[in-house]
Amino acid sequence: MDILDSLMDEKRVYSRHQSGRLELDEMEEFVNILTKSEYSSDVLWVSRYLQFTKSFIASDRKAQSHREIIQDVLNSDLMKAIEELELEANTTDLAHLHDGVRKILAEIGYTRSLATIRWLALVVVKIIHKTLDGIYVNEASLMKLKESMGDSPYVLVPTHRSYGDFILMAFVCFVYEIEIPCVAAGLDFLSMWVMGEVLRKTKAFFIRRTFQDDKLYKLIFGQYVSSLVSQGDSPIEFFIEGTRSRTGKSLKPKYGFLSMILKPFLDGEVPDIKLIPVSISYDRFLEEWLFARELLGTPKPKESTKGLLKVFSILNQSYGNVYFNFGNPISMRDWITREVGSPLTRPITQDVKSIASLIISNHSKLQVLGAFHLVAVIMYDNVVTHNACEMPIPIVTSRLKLVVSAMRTLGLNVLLTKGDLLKEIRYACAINPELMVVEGERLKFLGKNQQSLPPALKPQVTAGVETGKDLDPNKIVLLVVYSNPVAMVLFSPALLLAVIATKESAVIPEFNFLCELFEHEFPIGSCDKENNFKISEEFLLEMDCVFRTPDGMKYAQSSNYQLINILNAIIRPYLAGYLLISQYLAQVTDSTTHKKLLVECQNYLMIQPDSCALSPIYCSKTFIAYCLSSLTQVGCMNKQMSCDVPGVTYSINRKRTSYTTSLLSSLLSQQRTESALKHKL
Amino acid sequence: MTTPKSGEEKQEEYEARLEQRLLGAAKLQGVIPKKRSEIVKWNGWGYNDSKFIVKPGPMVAFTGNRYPIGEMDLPGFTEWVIHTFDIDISRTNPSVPLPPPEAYPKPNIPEEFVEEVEKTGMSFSLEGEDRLMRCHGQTLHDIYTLRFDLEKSIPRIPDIVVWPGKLFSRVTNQLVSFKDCMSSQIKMSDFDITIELSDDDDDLETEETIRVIWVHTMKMHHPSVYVNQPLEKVFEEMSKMYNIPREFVDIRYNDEPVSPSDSLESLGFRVALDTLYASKALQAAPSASESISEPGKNKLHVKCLVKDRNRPLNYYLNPRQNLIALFEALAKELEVPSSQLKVKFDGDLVSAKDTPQSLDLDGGECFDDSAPILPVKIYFEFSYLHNGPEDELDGPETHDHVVKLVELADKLGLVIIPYGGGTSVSGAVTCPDNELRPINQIFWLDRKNLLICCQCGLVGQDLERYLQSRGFTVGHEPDSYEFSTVGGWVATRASGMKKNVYGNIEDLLVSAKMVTPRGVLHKKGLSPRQSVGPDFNHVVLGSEGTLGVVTEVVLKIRPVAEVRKYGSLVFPTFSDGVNCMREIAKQRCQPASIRLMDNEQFRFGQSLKPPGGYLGSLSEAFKKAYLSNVKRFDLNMMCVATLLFEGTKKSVEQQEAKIYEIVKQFDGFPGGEKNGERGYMLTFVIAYIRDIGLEFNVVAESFETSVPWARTLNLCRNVKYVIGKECIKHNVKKFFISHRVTQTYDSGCCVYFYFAFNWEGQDDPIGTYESIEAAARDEILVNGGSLSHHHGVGKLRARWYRSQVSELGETLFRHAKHVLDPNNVFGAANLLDDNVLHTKAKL
Repeated sequence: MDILDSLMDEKRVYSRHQSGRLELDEMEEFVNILTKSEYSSDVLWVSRYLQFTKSFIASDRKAQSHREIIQDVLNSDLMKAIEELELEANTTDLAHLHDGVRKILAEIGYTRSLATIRWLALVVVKIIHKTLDGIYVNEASLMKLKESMGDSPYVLVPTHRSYGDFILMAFVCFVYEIEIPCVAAGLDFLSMWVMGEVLRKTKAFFIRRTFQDDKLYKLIFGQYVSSLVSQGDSPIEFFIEGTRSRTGKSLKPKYGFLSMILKPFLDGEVPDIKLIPVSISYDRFLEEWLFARELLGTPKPKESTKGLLKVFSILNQSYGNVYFNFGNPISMRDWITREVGSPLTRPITQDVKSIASLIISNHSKLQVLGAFHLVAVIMYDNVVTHNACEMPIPIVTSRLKLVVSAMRTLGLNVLLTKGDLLKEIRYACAINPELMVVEGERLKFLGKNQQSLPPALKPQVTAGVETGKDLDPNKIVLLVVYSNPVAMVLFSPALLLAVIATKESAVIPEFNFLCELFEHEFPIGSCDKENNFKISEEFLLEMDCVFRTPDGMKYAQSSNYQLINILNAIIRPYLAGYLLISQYLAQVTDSTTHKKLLVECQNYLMIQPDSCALSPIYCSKTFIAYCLSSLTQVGCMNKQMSCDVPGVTYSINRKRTSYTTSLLSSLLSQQRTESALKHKL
Repeated sequence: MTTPKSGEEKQEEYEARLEQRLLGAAKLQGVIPKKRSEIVKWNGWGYNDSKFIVKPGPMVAFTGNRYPIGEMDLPGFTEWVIHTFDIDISRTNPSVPLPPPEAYPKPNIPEEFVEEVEKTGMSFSLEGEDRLMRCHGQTLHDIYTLRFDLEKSIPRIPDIVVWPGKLFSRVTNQLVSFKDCMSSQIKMSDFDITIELSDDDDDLETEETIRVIWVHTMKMHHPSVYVNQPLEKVFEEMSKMYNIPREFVDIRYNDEPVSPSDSLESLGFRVALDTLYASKALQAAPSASESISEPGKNKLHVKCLVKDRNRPLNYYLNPRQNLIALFEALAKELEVPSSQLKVKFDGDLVSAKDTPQSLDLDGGECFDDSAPILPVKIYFEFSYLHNGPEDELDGPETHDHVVKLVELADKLGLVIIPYGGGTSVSGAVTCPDNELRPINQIFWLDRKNLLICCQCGLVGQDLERYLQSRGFTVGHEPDSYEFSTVGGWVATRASGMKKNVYGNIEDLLVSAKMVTPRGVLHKKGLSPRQSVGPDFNHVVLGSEGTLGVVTEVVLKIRPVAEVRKYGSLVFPTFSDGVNCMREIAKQRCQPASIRLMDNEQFRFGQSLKPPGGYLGSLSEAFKKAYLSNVKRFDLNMMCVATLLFEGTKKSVEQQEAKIYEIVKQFDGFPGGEKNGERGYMLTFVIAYIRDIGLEFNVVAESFETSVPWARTLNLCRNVKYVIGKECIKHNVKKFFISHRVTQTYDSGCCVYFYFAFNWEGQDDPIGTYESIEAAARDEILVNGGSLSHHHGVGKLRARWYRSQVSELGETLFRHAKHVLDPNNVFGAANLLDDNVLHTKAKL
């Protein structure tokens, strides 16, 4: 403890600079842009003279407007090839084809209206002032980015946690006078009354959620993206996770759009493409209750303006801070060797995969954590490890110090703005008063079912989720969601720790196997396994969780049990959930379809007597679906195309499944004995 | 010995001269003398009197009156330079002075070589300065080293400079000892030989030096004989020299055998024009032949089965007697030339040199009459005895001297570097290496067929002056044509500015003679096109001095165009310009030359305008206002194309009309004749800029490529980007990168890049430059560009050669090299990378 205290003092965490800056080692660059404005009124501010920095200025031609980009698609070689194919198919009516293409392009294409941008900025700034305490931006790296812009297309690749992401990104660009990025938005936004068109005018272009069936659409959309990258001068923004992550951690990246973006580079049309990983971290998500419900099985409501207004209506509460952290541009030149040649160049899948995975791991490194997330982790550990919903403040404080130092060891940004840990804890509770509260000398988790909720947000009773201990599954899920940003970075060390605790030697293959097994839940480190191992190992050594012996790593029983508990708590639901599912699979005899398997697994999980406080997490369909994909990936199940049953069927690889089961159960039982031991201590 | 000329002889001589005149032969006094440094710079580009200088002010000016901007102050350029490179114009970085004669290393050349060279009458020089002048081309590395790092250059100078041929003719052959070359401690010396051709000396009447070529090796001999003397002496000389019995020496004149009793007179031998061809005869002269039709003691009975004949022919041979007699007898019997016979024994081809013993026919048991019948099968097959080069094109001394030199070098293990104008920018003539610069003589001019035959040392501008005074032109005008030579053009695959009308060198070249250590490669005939297998002109073209020396060249010529007119075009952006060029190329209506400069180069060109020059500052301002306000052009994006029309008045008008019509579609418009003319003038001046740049810590260089149309813009953009990034990487703060499209083809174009930077703060500016250019070249190749459009590969680009021609292609070239030059006499080390490694490492 003393050691930790002195460690914390050395790092001088708490002092605050007067002008919104923090006097804190790596935090210094973060600036609250809400306190930055030199204008007396917001109206004056949004109508100021703007000189946007463009992303790609080719010196040999004029930049293309949005109309010209559409024209460029129509004049492209691809379009000619499509026409030729149509003619070969004896379609004499090219006008029909052209109409179709124009319609598609009209649906996709962005437009730009500076007036709309200014109006939206005004609305957004008003709402932000009401709901957010601050928007912290890593100004130094953003300014560096802005300065380097102009030489090649820049693609912003932010994390996606909220609807707020693209509006806030546009807002940040507006503040720093960077050309508003063209953002790829889901087509469902277009159905929102007024908002769809507003988004379009503020440079959103729309992408259908699925276009596997429509070949023409796929081609035209790809060409549009190509033209946008090679002919346009705006930055481009897309969400590599494909959709909002409801869980607070990164999703497995999608590769389709990334491949489209890269095509102009492979064709040599642009000298380079720079991908900028951006982490947008929220203290509290605007859509937290929706997320919780979705995770528990309620389908996602259709995006509608009404829904959005509803979101705004609840915005009169404080949502804490939002943190923008811009990473270093990833130059495609360093990653892809080009061989300009064939007309249908596609990036090599492996290249795209490793780039995507690099971005995801950058996302997790770039995260900015507020006190709220750290406190959530501590409470989560408390609930899972000690089955308690309350804890004394001094314990919270000491654990908070521990988590902060753990995060710093991993190189993460922890932004503490209040100057005092107690204040930080209070502030964390204030951000989400329905989740946690400080009562007297105790921090309380308001997860008991009797806790009253505002009637509008009262969760609908979701189909038969066992809650154990009378805890509100919604609250549990929220607690998990808010602790997940931390879980993201601690997951690999936690896995390694579990492996070291059970195994004497040869930890690396098992560790890699487990990383792959949980890749769908924690898609980090899969691009660079060795490095992932090294970092996790160093972290555990640094934090005194393990020690080095001549034979390898040894588990350190007595040291730093608080952190060990937290690490164990983080992986527990995943180990338990995956174990249950693979145990169930071991019983399955016939080959079966995905859908059937999913339902059966869910039913099986719900009737498990083992269901603990955490069961809401692993009873969700997403969890099971991820688990099944992962098990397929590691070979516990084999995909088959069969003639009698339509679609894909699965058969079980018993040998592999039993290996997985035994590995998971050994890890889990080791953990149980551990935690029992801790309790006694 | 001296007898007065008879009237008849005088008549003959007159006729010979008349014939020369009819042929159009001429020996030209070239612009560039043997002592190159009298006229051209030893450490930079071009003429000594033409250069940029900085006058107090500071003010940059151009000296000399060879170019239109000569003797003018250039304030715009001064400003441009200071702004672009941020240089302190008051601080110069002067070149080191020319070293004194004693500073050069002693030539390391075998005495035998010098003796032989002296004997043949070639001129040579061992002087350091002459040798230094020829140890480099015009790459940045060469010039930089000469100016600032001369100690590095000096050890690498050739040992001797030789000028084959007689007066006025210069072949510069730089020779290095082969061993030295390989150990990378290259020592070279210059060997300069001048021979006074004592033209009408009476003494020559009686004793003549004649040319005899030993056809097996294409070696040239120069025996002296009296005109009336029997040629017995020549026969003896040959037999001694090649160590064969005199009876086996076969000498032919006009394809007729010459008897030893013939004399030059009796043959009607024209000393100036004709050559004798000597070879080893297939059979001894009749006197030496032994009867083989009669059996005799110890003789073997050889039975010859002849295809299509029923009866075998019987002969009797001595075991140690070679089969020549047999061949001869067979030839006689079958009535075919012995050279066309093919004799086989046991399925293997038998050569005339074989003896029954060597063929294992003796066996010991068969020495009597009842010897077993030896089945020797004989059948006919056409085989053609190679008779050496056609004599109608066989040039005078130069060619022979080159042959001699190459032979000598081959024998003594020396390296020859043919040297032309020394304008190479591929590192091709940088020692160790080879370009070719023989004499500047014109052999004949064929007005009817529009051909000219000249020696390869002829400098471009001399050739054009000669031709244009007679109403013709070759029309090949590379930017270096003031200094580069015909042979150099061929050896590097040069491209001329006006190729749209006249073609590139490969289109212009009809025939070339290349002397290699294994003989002369020479295509027969001057027909316009031949389908005779692969065209070996293409082995010569682009060989970059690695295979042999080009000595004589036949080129196409054209009548001089009636009208020559300049023009220019203005485009709002470079991509509009490129698209327009593409359309013009598509419609195949390119004028003689069309070039498109990018915005940077356009502004650079503007800066070189002398104040109040052609337009005056008032009209300049007006023009600018017109462009930006009326035409809505962005002055930081617009670009300019320059045009050169050639043809009849009418055709030029038509061309202009068509071009200006096309230009409209691309938002361009004509920019006036003056701008076009200035553009072409700048082409020649631009090469001088590097020298002054070096004085102010600015390195500048150009490199080029050819690229398909669809990739042109991408390539330009990406290469500029890469250079920008590389500059940042190398901490280069002030740089200039610009490009232009200089040639258009149906499917693509040639792009030229100009790159310069201020080397302030760089430890090794040349290393930096080379690393940046290499990155740019990689990018060019990735973007579908070629390794070179016309600069060639040399040593600078050798590392990419294999990837461009495929591994098999490289192997093919290696083997060709091995066949033509097994001892690596032409050790220029161009094209093939492995030869260049050690030198490159030193750079």
